[in-house]
Amino acid sequence: LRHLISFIAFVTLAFAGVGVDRSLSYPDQENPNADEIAKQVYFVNHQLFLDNQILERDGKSSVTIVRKADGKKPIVFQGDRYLNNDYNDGNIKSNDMVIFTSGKMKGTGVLVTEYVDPDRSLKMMMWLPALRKVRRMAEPAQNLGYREADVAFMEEAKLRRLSQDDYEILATRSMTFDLGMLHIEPEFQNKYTKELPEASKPLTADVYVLKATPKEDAWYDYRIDYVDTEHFTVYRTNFYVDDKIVKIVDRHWIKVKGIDDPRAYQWTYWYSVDPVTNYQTVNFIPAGIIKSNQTVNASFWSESTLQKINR
Amino acid sequence: MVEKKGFSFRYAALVMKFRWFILAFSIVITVLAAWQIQYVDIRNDPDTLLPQTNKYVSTNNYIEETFGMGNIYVIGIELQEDAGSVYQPWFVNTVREIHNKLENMDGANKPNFISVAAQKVKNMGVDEDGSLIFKRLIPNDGISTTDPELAQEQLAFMKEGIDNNPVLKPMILHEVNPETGEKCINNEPNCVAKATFVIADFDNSVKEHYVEWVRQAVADLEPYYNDDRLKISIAGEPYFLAWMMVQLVDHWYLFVASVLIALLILYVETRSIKGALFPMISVGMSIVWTLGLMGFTGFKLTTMMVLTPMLILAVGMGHAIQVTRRYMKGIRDGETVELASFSALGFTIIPATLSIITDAIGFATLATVDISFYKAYAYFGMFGMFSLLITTTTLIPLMMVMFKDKQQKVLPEAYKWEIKLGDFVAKLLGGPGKFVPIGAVIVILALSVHYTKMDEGIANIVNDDRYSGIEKVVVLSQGDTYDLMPGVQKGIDYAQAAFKVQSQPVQDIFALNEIMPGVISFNIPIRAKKPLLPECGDAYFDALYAAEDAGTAPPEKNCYDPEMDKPQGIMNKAEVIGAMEKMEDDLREHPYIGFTASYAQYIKIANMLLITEPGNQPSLADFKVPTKEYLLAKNPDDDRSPDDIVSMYNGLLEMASNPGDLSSAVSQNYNNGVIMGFVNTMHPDETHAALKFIQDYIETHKNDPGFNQLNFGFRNADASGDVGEIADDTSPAYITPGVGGFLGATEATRDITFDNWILNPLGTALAIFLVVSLIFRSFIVAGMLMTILFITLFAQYGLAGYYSAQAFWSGNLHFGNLVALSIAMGLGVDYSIYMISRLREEMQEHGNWTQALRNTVATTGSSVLISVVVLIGAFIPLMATDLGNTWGLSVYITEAIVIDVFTALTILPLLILWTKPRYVFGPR
Repeated sequence: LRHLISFIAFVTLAFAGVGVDRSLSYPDQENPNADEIAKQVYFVNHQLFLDNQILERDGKSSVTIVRKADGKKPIVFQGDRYLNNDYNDGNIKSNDMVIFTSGKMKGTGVLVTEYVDPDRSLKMMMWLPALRKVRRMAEPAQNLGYREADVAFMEEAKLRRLSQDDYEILATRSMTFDLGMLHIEPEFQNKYTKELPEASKPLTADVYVLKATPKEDAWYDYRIDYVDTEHFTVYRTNFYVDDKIVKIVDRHWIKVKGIDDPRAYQWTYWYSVDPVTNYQTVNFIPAGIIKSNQTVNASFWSESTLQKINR
Repeated sequence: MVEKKGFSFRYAALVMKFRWFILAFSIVITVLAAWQIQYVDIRNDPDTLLPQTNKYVSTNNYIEETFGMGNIYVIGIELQEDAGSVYQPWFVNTVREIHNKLENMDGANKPNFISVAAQKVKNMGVDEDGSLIFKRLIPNDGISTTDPELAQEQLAFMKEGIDNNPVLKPMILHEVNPETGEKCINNEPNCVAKATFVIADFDNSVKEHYVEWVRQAVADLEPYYNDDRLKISIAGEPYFLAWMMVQLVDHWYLFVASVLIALLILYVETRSIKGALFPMISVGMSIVWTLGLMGFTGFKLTTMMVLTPMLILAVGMGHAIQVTRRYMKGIRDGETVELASFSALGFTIIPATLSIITDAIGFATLATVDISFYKAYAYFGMFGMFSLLITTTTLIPLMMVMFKDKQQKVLPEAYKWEIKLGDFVAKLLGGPGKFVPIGAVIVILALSVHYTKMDEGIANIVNDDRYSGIEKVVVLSQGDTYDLMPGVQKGIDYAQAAFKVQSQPVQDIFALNEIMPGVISFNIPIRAKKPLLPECGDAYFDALYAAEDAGTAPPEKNCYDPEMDKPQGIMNKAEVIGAMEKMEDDLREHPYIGFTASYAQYIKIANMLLITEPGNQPSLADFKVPTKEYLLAKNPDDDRSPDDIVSMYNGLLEMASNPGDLSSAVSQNYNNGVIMGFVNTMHPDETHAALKFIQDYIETHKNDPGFNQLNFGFRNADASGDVGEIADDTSPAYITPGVGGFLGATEATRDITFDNWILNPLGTALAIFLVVSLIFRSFIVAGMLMTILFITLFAQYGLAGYYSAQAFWSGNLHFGNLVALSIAMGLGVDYSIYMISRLREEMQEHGNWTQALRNTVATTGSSVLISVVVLIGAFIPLMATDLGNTWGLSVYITEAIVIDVFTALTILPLLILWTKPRYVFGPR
C-alpha cells in the first residue's frame, strides 16, 4: 500500500533521518558542503521546525491528491491529517494520523508512529471501517521502483535516509523556475479538481544544484535537486536514468506563519510528471486550512481515536 | 481456313495501329504504379480481418479498447530436466534480464507486464510482527550473486510470494511432480518449479513496424536460446503475425526462383529469348500495376495477399503461352511477323477475355464475404486479371512486331511430346481407354464422399424433423445447425492455419500449451445494465447550500456526490463480484479451460489479507469474496455490509496500485470489468465446445443474483444489442452474447466458414454458369463446364476431409483455405474454355473430330500442361516457407488446377463428343 503511505507521507513530512533531528541548526558557514545542504533539505522537507500541524477540511478546501494517466479521468483522494512531533520520551519521535474523507476510502484512517531509534521500522496502524478492524501494515520496501507512481515524493518524505545517497554540489547559481501544474480537460473536471490552484508565476531564486546518487540500486541513476540557498526549499527535482530525465517534481512553497526559522517553509502543491508516459500527480494543501502548533492532547494520536472514525 | 474478320480482328487491327501509344501508355502506368508500391500496407492485423459487426469480433474489440492486453507476447523460460528448479539466482536474474529487455522495446505497455520481475507482482502476506506486507518478489537489482546467504533469503521470499498468490501463480510458474513428472496445478506440496513466463503487452504501434520489431525481439532472446540450461518458447499475437511477414521477406529468393522457372519454361517452349522475355515483362507489368493499386488505395493487407501477384504470374504466363504459341503457329504457317501477331491477337483475344472474365468471377464473388482479405482478393484479383488483357494478350504480339528481328528466324516445329500427347489422348478417348479417366474421376468422387462423410451428413439432415422442405434447405445453407459434410472441419486452429505444424512458432506454442494453463485466450465482458449517474455539479450544490441556508427541502438529486453517496459502479457490489467468483470456479471445472482471472481475484486476495485477525497467517479459506453468505458462515451475527467491504477493498487496491495495474481487470469507473481466461486446447472441436460451455453458463445464470444486473458480450456490432428483440430470450430472434479473445475470434472464423463454405463456391459456380451460357450461347457447354467444376469442387472438399481426418489443421477447410475454392473455380475453367475454343476452331478447319481432338490436345492441351507447370513453379515460394496459410492456398489451388487440367483434357472431350453441342460441331 505504498500509495497510501505516500499520502500519509505527503501530509506529514515529519520523519527525520540519521543525524537530523529537530535540533539541527541553521548552517553558520557561508558555503555549506553538499552533506550539510542535504541535511538542511531533509530538515525542511520533514518540517522538523513544527511541534504539530493539523490539516482539516474546511468547506470545499481540503488536502487533495489527484492522479491522472494520460487521456484518462483523474482519480482524486481527499483527507484530513494530524501530525505531532512533540515527544520527549526518548522512544516515539512522531505520530501522524490521516483520515480519508471522500470516495471508496472514506472513513479509513491510518496512524503512523516513528521511533527515535532510526533502525526501528515505522509502526503503521490502519482502521478499516467496513471491517471494523485495525490492521497493522509493514513499512514498505524502498526498492519498489516508483517511476510511474507519484511516490518519488514518498521516498523523500518517509523512506529515504540521508546515509543512502552520495551528495555533490554541481553549481550555485540564480535560476528561474516555471513550475508545472496538472491540466485537466473540462470533461474530466469535478468539484474537487476545480479547487486545484493555477500554476504559480515563474520564480527566480539563487539555488544550489545538488546531485544525489543512491549508493544502492534504485529505480533511477541519480537525481538533481535545485535547493534555495537561503531557505533550503527544493523547487525542482529531476530524476535521471541513462542521463535522461524520467521524472520531474516541482514544488511551490509558502512561509509557515508564526515560526521565525528561515527554513519554516511548507509546500502547498507538489506536481510531478513522467515525461514518457505523461502520468501526472498533484498533491495540494490549501493554505487556508494549515494550522500549526495547536494545543491538542497527545492521547488524540491513538488507536482508540482511529476506531471512533465513522462509527 | 478460318476467316479473320469480326470484332476480334477489328480489335487486333486497332491495337496494331496504335501499338507505340499502347506501349508508351503501359510503361507510364507501370512507372506510376511502381512508385506506389512503397505504400503497400501489409500489417497482418487480425483485428481488421474479420467482420467488425460479428458479435465475437465486436466483443473482443470492446475488451481491447477498454482493458488493453490486445498484443500479448509470451516468453516461456523452462529449465532443462537436470538443471534444478527456478529458485536459483542465475535463473531468476535471467528472467529479470529478459523482462527488462522486453520492457525497453518500442511500444511496450509496461504496466501490463506480468512476470516474477514485474513491479506489480508482489509478495502479499503477513510478516513476523503480524503486519501486512506488500513487496516486490525480487529486488530491483535482482538476486544477489555475491552473497549466497542473502540470495537464499531473497529466493525464499520470492517463493513465499508466489506460493501465497493463488491468482498469479498459475500464470507465472510451471511446477511438476518430480516423481510422476506430471504438471502440478493446485499448489500441491513437493512440486518442483521448472519454468516461468514473461507475459508482455504491446500497443498497436508495433503493427506499423512488425518486421523490425520481431527481429529485435528474437535477437534479444538469442543468448538464451544458446544457453544449454534453458528451453525458450515464444508465442503471442504480435510475434506470430510479425514472424509471418519475416517468413516472406527472408524467402525472397524463392520468388526469384519462381520467376526463373517461368522464364526457363518459356524459353524452352518458344526457344527464343524474346519469347521468354516479352511474356515475363508483360506479366511483370500486371503485377506492378496490381501492387501499385494496393499501395495507392492504402488497403490494409495480410501476408496471404502474396497469393495475388503469384496468381497473376501463373495465370498471366498461361495466357502468355497461349498467345505466344498462336503467334508461333502463324510464323510456322509462313506468315510475316505482322500477320502472325495480328492473327495471334485476333484468335486469342476472345478466349482470353472469356477466361479472364471467369477468372475474375472467381475473385469477384469473394467480395460478398465480409472479411477484409476476401475483399482484397476480390478487388485486386479482378484488377490483376483484367490487366492481363492489355499486358499479355495485347502487348505480347505488339512487342513481337515492334521489336522484330531484321531477318525472320525459322521457328522449330512443335515438340514431339506435344504431338504424341495429342495422339495418345485421341487414341485413349476413342476406345475403351476412355474408362480410365472416367474411373479416375469415380475414384476421386468416392474418396471425397469417404472423407467428407457426406453420406452421414445427408442421413442426419434427412432424419432430422426440426425443419422441413425449403426451410431445411435454408437452414442447411447457413450456420452449423446442419452439416452436409461432417468429415470436413470448418473450425480453425489459428496457430496451424498461420504456420506449418513443424515450424518453430507452432512447436513453441505446443510447448507453451504444455507448461502454461493454456494459450488460447478468452474474455467475457462484465457490463453494468445501469449507467452511472453524473457527478453533481455546481448547480446542484448551490441549490443544496441555498436550501440548507433557507431551511427548506433539499433539491431533487439526480447526480452523484462522491463525498456523501456510496461509491457508484457495479464492481462495488459484493453480489456481483460473488457471482463472478462462482462463474470462475465453475468455468475452471471444465476440462478445456485452464485458467481464469478477474477483478474478483483481487477482492479475494484483499479479503484474505485483511479479514484475517491481526497476528494470524492468512488462510486460503478466506480467499473469498466477502458476500453475505460468506460473512454469515463465519459469524451468524455478522451485520457488516458486504458492499461497504468490497468498496473499501476497491479503494485500498486503487490506492495501492500503479497506473495500469488494475485497468486490465476493471474500468476506472468501476462499472465494467472482464473475466479472462485461457483454453488449454487448440483443437477446433474442443475450442468450440469450450466456447459453447461459456455461453451456456451465461444463459443459465444470467438471472442469478448479481448477474441479473449485468450485460455480458455484445450481440451485434455494439451495445445497441443489449436491448430489443435480439436481447429478448423469448424471441426467436434472440442472440446469445459474444465472447472475446482468441477463442472468440476462433468461433467467429468458424461461424463465417459455416455461413460461406457451401454458398460462396456455389455462388461462384452460378456466376460462371451464367457468363459461360451467355458467351457460348449454349446451356450444354455451360453444363459441361459446371460438371467439371463440381468434380473439382467436391475433390477439394474431399481434400479438406482428408486433412481433417489427419487432424492436420493447416489443411482443413478454415476460412483461409476456403477462399481457394472460388479462386480455383475461376482459374480452372480457363483450360476448358481454351480447349472448347480450339476444338471449335479445329472442327471448323478439319471437320473431323479425331483430328480436331488430336490437334487441340497437341497445341492447346500441351500449352495447358505447361501452364500448370508454371503455376506450380509460381507456388514454390508459397509452399516452401513455414507459412501454413499460403501453403494451404497453394495446395488447394494446385489440386484443383491439376484435376481441372486432367478433366479438361479427358472428360471434357468425352462430354463434348457425347452431347455434340452446336457451338463446337456447328449446325447439325
